[in-house]
Amino acid sequence: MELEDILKGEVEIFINPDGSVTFADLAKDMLPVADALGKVGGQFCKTSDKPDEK
Amino acid sequence: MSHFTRVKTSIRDLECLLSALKAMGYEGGKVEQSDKGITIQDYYGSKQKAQVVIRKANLKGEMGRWSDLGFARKEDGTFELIADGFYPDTLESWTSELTQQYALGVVVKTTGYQGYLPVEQQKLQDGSIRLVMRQW
Repeated sequence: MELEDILKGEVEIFINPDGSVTFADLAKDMLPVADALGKVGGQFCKTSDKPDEK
Repeated sequence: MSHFTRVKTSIRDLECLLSALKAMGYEGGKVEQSDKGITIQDYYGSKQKAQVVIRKANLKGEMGRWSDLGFARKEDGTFELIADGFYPDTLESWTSELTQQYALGVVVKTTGYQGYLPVEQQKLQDGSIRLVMRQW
């Protein structure tokens, strides 16, 4: 069997400096990935400068 | 008085967090981990507890000048970054790199579940990471 027969697909993904992700070709298989990233993407925001000491 | 700043994140995946830290050069004994929490301390002796910790001696540059750094697991499952806020630009740059490396780890892990493996990775001039994943 040729290697080309084994290959099912290839996707190109760009991970931006802010942690957002761009899919060059959003294949149907990638939708769960995009969904997962939406839930776990690392956006940061400061919540407090002086937390209470625990 | 405290040097500590708490930074809310949407990081939930411990494995991807550790992978991101490793990519930034923090691996092996440089990262401590405990579900019960480890005490970290800043310049003024103010103490906090975190589940993933990097001691100031192991932090690079200004990040480690005054305080330890930690990630504290919150009730909603996300990690909150507790770090020295004395150098805000340095902290912002550090969290930016962590965010990108974390996203990279999530992409590789999530696509891996669907049979994709990374075959090409390169850092582009605009700072983004180009990743080619192939399904076998």
